Amino acid sequence: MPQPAVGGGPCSVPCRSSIQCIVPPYMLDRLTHSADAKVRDRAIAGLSRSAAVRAVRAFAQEIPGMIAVPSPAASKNRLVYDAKGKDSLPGRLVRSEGQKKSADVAVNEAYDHCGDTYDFYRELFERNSLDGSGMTLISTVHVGEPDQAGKFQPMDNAFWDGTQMAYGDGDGVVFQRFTRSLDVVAHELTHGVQSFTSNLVYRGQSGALNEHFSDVFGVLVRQWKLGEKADKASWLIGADVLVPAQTRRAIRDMENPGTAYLDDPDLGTDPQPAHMKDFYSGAADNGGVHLNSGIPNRAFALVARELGGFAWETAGRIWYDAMFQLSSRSQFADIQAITTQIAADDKRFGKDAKKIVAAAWKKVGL
Amino acid sequence: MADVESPRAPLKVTFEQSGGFAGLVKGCVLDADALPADESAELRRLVAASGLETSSKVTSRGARDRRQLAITIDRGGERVAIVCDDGCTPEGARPLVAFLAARAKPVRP
Repeated sequence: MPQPAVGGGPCSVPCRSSIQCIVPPYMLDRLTHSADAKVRDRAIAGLSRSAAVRAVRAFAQEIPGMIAVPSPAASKNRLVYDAKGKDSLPGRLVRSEGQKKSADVAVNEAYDHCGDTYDFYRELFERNSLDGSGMTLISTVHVGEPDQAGKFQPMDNAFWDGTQMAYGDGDGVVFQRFTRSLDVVAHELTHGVQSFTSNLVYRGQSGALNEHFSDVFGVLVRQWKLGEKADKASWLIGADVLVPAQTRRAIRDMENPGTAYLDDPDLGTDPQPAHMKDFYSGAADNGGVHLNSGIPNRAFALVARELGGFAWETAGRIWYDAMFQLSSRSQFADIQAITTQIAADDKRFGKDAKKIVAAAWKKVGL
Repeated sequence: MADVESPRAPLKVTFEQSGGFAGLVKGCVLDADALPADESAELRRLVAASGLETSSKVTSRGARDRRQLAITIDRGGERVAIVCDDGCTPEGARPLVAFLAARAKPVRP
């Protein structure tokens, strides 16, 4: 397989002052109220320096902002629709925020998993929904797709359409209901978060990073919900949506990319590379967005395990900040540089974090 | 454009489906001459009904985890290549895509 041009040229992350680079905007906002005048002045200066960058980002994200459905009280607001086996979105509204449980398990799964994901971002990162402003979380369950005779069948997929989530029920042979899995739901919602942050272009290395962040926060939401420490936690993605079989464990394995399924009659063998030497450079999958994400996924799992404790507390915070600091065309070299730079903040992440992050990226060939 | 519904007209269709949440890569190459008569006739009918007459490349704006589709229709040297995703597949081509997807097998990318 040909070697890619790592980074694709100069780092696409704009140069910035240390305070801008290390401290995310929400923390800068808080620091502007500090009792210490020096801290306050630096924070205000940092915010003003980043204004131009944020203006560009805001412009680039104008489209998702325009289509975001606000919630009535700018707080958690979930709407679950039923496509009734067809493919017209959003379908019929079947459960709204605060309403009692439905008799339909898929409706409740979509509702509950959306709630867990909202709570994760709110409690850990003070983020109010996908857009940070209380955007309504819209899900459609029981999405179908037509067969060659035009008869609708359950969809073997889950996707983010730019405004909402859509979940199929699976064929019952390989795939089960996609709403079953908290990490799948959190993965799709994180695509929404990204559209309001780095907005990574969904192609090539930037697209693989887009998938990577969705897997990272997908798995972190699940580990957080289960209270799992990094060294004991599962790093599998989508295990709950596969019909169990000897030849498959999950859809992806962040810790050991390329091993989630083997010689499966329907899935084949997991094609994810675990190292840059096996980087996929073909045209399929928008240039391998779900394939090459295995490389940064492995780096993240290595970092989280080495740091120890709960993965969302340290590794997750480094990656969350990175999601804001990357640009839409960032490459693998950029996330390597940014996460290493963020981890250098001893006070927030401990004295070993920078070394651990750098070592992980080196281990995957960056 | 050759009449692909004629049983003697050359017709070869190459299909690749990739991406989706699972990121699976599947594909097939169907040569109408090499298929059983009923399958060959169905493929010809679906290609003729698909409306895929010119090459194009489109994707659903802002969508993530949609399945990417790459279809090449070779009518005896007249080639049409279409790249799209399952959110923007031309309506007339959806039965053809379903026919091809049902015959696609996992391929090593």
